[in-house]
Amino acid sequence: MTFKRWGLFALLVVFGLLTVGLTGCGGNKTGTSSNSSSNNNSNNDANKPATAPNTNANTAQQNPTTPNTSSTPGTQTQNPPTSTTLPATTTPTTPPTTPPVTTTPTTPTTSPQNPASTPQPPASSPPTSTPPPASAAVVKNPDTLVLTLTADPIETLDPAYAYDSGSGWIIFNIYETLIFWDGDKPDKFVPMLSTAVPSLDNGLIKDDGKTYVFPIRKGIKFHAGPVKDAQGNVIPGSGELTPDDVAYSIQRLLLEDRSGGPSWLMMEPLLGSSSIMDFGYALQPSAKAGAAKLSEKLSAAERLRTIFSPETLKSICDQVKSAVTVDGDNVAFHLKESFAPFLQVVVGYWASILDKEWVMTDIHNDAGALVKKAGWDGNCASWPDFYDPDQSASSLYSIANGTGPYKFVRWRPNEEIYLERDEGYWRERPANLKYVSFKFSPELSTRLLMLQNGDADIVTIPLASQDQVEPLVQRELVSKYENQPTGSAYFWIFNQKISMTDNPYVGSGKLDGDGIPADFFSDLDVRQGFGFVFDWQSYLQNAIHGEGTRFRGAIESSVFGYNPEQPVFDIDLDKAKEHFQKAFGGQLWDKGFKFIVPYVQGGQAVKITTQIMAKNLASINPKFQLISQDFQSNTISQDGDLGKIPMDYNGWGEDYHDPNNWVFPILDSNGYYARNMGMDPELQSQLDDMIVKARRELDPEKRKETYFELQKIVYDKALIIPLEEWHRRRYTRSWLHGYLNNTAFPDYYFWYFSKS
Amino acid sequence: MLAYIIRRVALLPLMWLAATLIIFIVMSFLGPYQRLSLYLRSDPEMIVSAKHLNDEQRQRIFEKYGLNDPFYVQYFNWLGQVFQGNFGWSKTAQKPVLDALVERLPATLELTLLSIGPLIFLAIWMGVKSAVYQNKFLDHVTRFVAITGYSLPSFVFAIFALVIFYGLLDWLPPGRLSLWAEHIVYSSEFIRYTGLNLVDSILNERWDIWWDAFKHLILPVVSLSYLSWAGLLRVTRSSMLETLQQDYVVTAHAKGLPEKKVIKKHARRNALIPVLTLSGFVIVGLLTGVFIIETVFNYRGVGFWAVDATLKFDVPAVIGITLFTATLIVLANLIIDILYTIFDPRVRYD
Repeated sequence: MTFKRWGLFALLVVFGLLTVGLTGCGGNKTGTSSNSSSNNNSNNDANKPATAPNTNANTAQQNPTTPNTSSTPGTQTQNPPTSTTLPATTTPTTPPTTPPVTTTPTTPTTSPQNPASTPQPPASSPPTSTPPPASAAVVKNPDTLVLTLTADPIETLDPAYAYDSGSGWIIFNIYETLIFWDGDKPDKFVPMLSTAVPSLDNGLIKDDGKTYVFPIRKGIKFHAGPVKDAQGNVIPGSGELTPDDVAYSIQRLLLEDRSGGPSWLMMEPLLGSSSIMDFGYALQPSAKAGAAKLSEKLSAAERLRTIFSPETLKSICDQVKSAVTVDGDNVAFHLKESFAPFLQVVVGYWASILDKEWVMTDIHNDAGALVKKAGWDGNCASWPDFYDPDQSASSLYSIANGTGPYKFVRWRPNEEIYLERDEGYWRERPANLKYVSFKFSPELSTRLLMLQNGDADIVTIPLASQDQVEPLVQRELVSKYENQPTGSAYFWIFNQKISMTDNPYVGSGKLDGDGIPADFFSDLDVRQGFGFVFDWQSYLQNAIHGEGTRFRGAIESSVFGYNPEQPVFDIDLDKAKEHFQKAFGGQLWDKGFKFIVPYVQGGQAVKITTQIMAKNLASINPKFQLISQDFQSNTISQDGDLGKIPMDYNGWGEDYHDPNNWVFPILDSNGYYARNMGMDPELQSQLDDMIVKARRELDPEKRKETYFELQKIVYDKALIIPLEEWHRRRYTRSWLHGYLNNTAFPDYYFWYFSKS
Repeated sequence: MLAYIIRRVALLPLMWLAATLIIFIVMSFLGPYQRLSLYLRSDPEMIVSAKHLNDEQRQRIFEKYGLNDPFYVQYFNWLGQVFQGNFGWSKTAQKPVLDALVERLPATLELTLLSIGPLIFLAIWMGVKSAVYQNKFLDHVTRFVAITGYSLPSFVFAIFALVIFYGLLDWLPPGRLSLWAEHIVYSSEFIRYTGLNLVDSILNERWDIWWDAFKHLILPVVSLSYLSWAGLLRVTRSSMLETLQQDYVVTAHAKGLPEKKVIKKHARRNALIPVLTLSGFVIVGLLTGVFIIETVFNYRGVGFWAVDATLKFDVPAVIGITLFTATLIVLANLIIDILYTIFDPRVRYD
């Protein structure tokens, strides 16, 4: 039943009630029947594994630890379309809801200190957007951008702690980095807090790519303004951006190194190590033996001080400091070795620039209450105290003070996030909308009603429920942006060295037709055979409902180094048969095999592809049995980590927009996926070498060549079966303008938005 | 009487122990991997930070939070913390459990207090009226409305109400406050004495905010009380009907007492005993009802948090909420028990 009819139905019920009430002749039977038929399909999205298209935070609760679970976009069972069209309510009826002040967007004025090319707000509206409605409804909350999501996107506001695009989303609207993305281009940069983007041409990349120099912009103010010390004197250098702030922010990022956090991204190029611990062990190898015996109940600082000698601790800090140095108005980054994607690391929200003096001081509000305790003071003696803090122990956990277009006002976890624009913002204009307000509601029907009534401009819409927004799109209340790339892709991975102990997936564990041996997928012909039974068209239509484009393996299509000519596997049963007949010297063909591909409940994509493959396999040899079976998502996650799953469905979302961040996880021996792949060691070391070579190479042409080779190996050796690159749809109220999709953005950049 | 109350209250800690122990035992059926999920924030688009966690780091999380320990060890660790006044850190509220509870309590309190009073008194009043005017027009209407309410799941009713009064008419929005009001309430110019918006707005003399808060409360309060109200009404009615046929009521009539007096003094008071018993259940029902109602109306109180915490295995929060709810239920039942003595002189606790 559509919403329109449903609404009518509801009205009828009310009408019925009234009539019955008035005439007094109604038996109660009618009442009962009316509600038994009041259908129950209206609000059951809350417990669906919703992968939401337009916000963060909502898959978080569904499959938290499951990098290799099967829940993908498009995997959900389609819900019968329930809600939607209701007559438009155009006027806000409640009297006191007039918002405070309506500020008209300031017209851009060019100030002399602007960089030559500032990120331009999108001049033309994106191609797929629907035009604004002819008879525009009265814009509700005209100076506030209201977002209603399923859950709070913030895990922390500390840029050095945050490593999820939800937190990054808020952080990158408050803080700024040295450089920024150029409009919707994820791999072109414009200056931000630096006055120039380093390049070989302008001489700011030096020493064969080992030194990056950023000239720091002057006259930029932090939102909180100058900081006073305990005596009430203004601390010199506070409240204003200085090169010292830049060096401090990066050093803090490196030394905070919370486990599972973003520090490694910066640490790899600067220190050549992926954690402070590893870096310390390299300096003091004897420490490692003692570390294993330590109780885990010690605090991170205690651990650090017990494991390493004071000299080592000082040496770590000294080396971090010499990696990022201040030189007059410039800040120089000294890399261990040349690292081509370095600018991609510098642009990330983790490299946000903080006000050193503000961070290191206790901050009190007007009433005298402590609102922020002092953080690291930049001193080498105290850094271990700030190493690997607990989430809320970081002094920047719930407060922020940046230079960006929006000021942090308050964050009530899971209740509300409130940002206010910085009126004195340094770029050509302040943000158009005065406030940004985040609300959360796990109920889809509530969110949809809020969108329809204009009380929210952007709401989370699970993929499976997208149909329910269509009527609002047709009524031109909502703009739809289709096929927005997300920088993530899905693929099947073959486990070439299956861990057989206690393994529920491999049947007999032997090549006897009733199971598979541990090295089943180490046979190239087996992998290729599986590649040729994969049916892309059928997958696209049945499993992911046409949403997505073909992933060609290892590198996403908008990333540098992607080879559009790269061959991919697609269904060819003759070839598949050929390969299977050769596999295991013909034994496989005679004996057959049987194993289980696990999927999480609701992970329809995996189930459906597996079934399609199973059918194709059985059609070439009835002894080939592929079984799809549902498992608990955490079981899959655990078994994946333990290397038990023979053929595993995976997805990768990039940290930064560079091929290195694709080939490394998928192919490097330390990468998340390859380390469980059990690849032939010779091939693995060849891949590792190529990955390092490509990363060091500064000549784009040569670099590209290596990535092309890497991609070719992925196909030739059939290491994975690439599936789709996930594209999503996004919806906003049509009175909201300025939506711009940059794959590299953590999410919406609010500076562009306006309402009219 | 006092001794009885003290005895009942003294049983509370025992019940707390039992309730929490059960939760820990149930929790022990979840492997550490399942519970790890709480401590790792997955990235929304499957960019999972767990990816970057190696086995050593994962092991550290297990040990740090004691996820690998047997449940009784975990239980005693937790108990030790509680004795120091530390109920743990709620991952879902991103706050200490106690703080989060205190912060969310006013919202739920506002909702339930507004529901309970009218609910019980209206149900009793209408139930009595309905019985007295049995098979008359008023009785038909009441029975019809009651049966509808009784058989309608509260979330269905809530969604209906939301669709009509918000979606269609845009009168009564979800949430606790409108955007503009929320901005004022959480700014420094507004002093939040109690956290109850209805009270605070009066103390701050912001009548517009009072009206806004009130408007936001109408639908949740009605949805929350409808079902319990209907049940209570039906019981009152049938109990009253039964009492009206008792010999002593007939006697009262026969000796010429005025109708009003018969109903109020003789019939109603006796008819209320089963109603009283049911009221205890109604309060429990309300507490579970807030879970659903708060979620549907995006009304962010304890119930909303409870649902969130449960879905995400937020053990400290679940335990905190359970303790809180259990305490409320015990206290509510105690009050009911005391009320028995008032309504039924035969009941004595000494």
